[in-house]
Amino acid sequence: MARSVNPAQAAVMTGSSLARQKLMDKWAGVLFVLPALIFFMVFTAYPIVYGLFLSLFKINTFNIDDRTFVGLDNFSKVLVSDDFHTALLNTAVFSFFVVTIQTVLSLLLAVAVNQKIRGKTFFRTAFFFPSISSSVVISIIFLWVFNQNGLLNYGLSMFGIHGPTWVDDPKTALPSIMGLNIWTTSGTMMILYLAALQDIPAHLYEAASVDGATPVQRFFRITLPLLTPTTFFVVTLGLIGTFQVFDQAFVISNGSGGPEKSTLTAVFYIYQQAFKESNHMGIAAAGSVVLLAIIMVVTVLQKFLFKTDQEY
Amino acid sequence: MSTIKGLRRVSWLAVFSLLVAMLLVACGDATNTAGPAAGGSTATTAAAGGAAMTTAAGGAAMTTAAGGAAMTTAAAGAAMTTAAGGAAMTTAAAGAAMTPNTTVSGNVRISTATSSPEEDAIVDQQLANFAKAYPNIKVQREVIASDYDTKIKTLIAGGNAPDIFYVDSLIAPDYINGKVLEPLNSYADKFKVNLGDFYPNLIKAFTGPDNMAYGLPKDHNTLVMFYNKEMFQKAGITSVPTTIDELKAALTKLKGTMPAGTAPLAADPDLARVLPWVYEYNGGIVAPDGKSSLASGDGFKKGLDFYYGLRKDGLSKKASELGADWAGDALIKEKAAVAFEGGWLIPPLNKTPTKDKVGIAPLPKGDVQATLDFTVAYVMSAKAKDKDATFALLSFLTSESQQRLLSDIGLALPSRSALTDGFVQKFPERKALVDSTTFAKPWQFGPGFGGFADKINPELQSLFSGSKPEDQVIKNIDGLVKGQLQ
Repeated sequence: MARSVNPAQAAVMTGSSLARQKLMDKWAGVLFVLPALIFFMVFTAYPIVYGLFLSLFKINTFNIDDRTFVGLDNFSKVLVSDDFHTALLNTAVFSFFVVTIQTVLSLLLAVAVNQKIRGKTFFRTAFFFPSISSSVVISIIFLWVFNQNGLLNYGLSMFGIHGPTWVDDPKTALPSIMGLNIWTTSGTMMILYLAALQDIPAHLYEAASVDGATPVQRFFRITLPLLTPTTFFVVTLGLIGTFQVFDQAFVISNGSGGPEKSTLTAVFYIYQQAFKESNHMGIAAAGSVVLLAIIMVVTVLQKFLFKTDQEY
Repeated sequence: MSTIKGLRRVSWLAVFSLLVAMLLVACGDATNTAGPAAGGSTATTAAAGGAAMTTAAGGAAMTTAAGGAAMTTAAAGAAMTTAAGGAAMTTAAAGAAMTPNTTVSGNVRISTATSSPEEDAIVDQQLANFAKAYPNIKVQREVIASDYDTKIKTLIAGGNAPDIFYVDSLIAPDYINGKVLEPLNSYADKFKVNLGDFYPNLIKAFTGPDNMAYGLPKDHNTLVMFYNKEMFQKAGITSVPTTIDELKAALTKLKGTMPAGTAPLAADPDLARVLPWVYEYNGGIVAPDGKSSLASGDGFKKGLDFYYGLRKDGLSKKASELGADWAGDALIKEKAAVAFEGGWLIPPLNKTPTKDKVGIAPLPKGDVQATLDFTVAYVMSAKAKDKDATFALLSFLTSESQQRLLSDIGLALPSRSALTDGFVQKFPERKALVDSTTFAKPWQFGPGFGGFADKINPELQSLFSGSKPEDQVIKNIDGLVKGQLQ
């Protein structure tokens, strides 16, 4: 129980006052989670249930109460839609590369700034900084970086490379967004890793050193295994985040998902159905349900993959 | 020891905050420079807006992201000096002519897009004038900064529609079909507003199948040819091309004289830029009766052949390939000698030295002369409470005296034919924009086609990038049109 009771005080408490105390604690607990619970119910649980409900209807764009029940019709429309397939493929490619690279990168960054190096606080802050900036602002800055005459191509031109029109070329548009996404989120993941790294007891390393383990061995035999729960968390967060990528793709492609649908992500598809098409709100809701199912399946699969039973 | 450590920490903090400050300043710069390119829309939407021009219908289509920049009046940023003078003059005139009307009363909520500080100021001015003219009507103004159409749709769906809002020609049929707009004819009779004073093709864009008018156009913009006179001269082009063949010849001449990293023409794969040429070859994309596709027709192919042919021949490049946000931006940056844009290009252009080098001419003629007309109307929500008061404001905003405030600073062309002469007198160099009104076709295809350009453009993009052959692209577009018609 969170409430600390002075042992001397506890000794003089009668049985009934102790019971009352316990009840009070219970209510205090409820009271403490109540704001979060209300917030969750109103902004998460209710929309999810309502979304499920809406996915079974054809809905008038201009009047959400004007709807006709169509059963699973919306789902069949979503599942055969070429655009949805494109969007899922784009999202999968995006997720795979971003999650892989950002997980490795953030781990390396965390290990680096966990060393006793000069100015590590600066580096920690600097690496984390992109995470606290608005993704829309960062996307707009990157639009300029990715411009034909932008910073990136200027850098490349110093090596004699003629860079492409990054965000207006179907081959490079999605990788451009991946790059900016990795840059923004790696900092957050680094903080998570950093916290976990500092939780690893120093005596394990000392013991390993005494046994003659090299730094590389110590990293792979001690650090990495003990970080598994964090890695699971980082990968899960990364997957959920990347499956829901929208704002960066929206800004970079200027609301079109182009060029040639190369930046059309699953959430982007849902947005287009909901707001750009007439009477497709139900299809958008069905798309969200499908996406929810995919994210859930992937997360559960992952849980098996990262089965952890280490205790320390 | 610990003080030294503390000092060190403080100095790191100082260095870091300096970096942050520098970054913030850099961001500020980025958005600021984006501003003019985007047609003056503000802050975060700015950069998006700039590019929106390329994908959107340029000025008018509010369907894309940057609602702000996408309004016809989008452009904004107008020449401030004329703005102030013009506005002051007309306000005085307008104020003097009016006797307050106290018989109409009520509350009106109006939702406007904000594309520029200049336009914002004009709307404020108009509302202030209205408050004087109708002292018993209380007006509440709500500004939607970006993605205007999406937000309006959401407000309507949630039963919280503003009484007056903007609708552009492309999406108007969806709104009319959705029965969310109030027909205005009876109010026009009551308030003695003559719908015939507006350009008929503009009123027609907001007329429903029941022949009722559902919106009063606030302004419009046509697609014309902007060209760099200095570059023309350098290439030895003595007369402005008036036919497609002359245009091709001129662009070919330009190609030889222009430096690397530039192109004679900046042209993006965008339906709103391809369609004028299709119309010039007597083609179309949706039949006028809205029942069949014309994309497989001869005219569509000829128009696309011409537009894409310029690219194949190395005469045109995409704006992005020229390091510009949109074709107009390429012209401003002197990366291209020609761009097909509307009046929204003028305000950002006027902020640069390029303005003195640029001429405006109608689109060169194909088999017939054609172009596109983008227009936006003020409409009344069917659920407006005080409908008389709402119409009073709606008609006031589109009245001659109040429209003059807008057209005087050159944001867009007036939608009332009576204002045209004054506009041309004031801006003689913009005569081509006005003249094009007579042969322009509205940027509109019928109900269900609101997000249509967004569907066609990926096909045009694949044509431009070379990933799909032309006949495949035409077949796909035909399929998309047919799918939409069902």
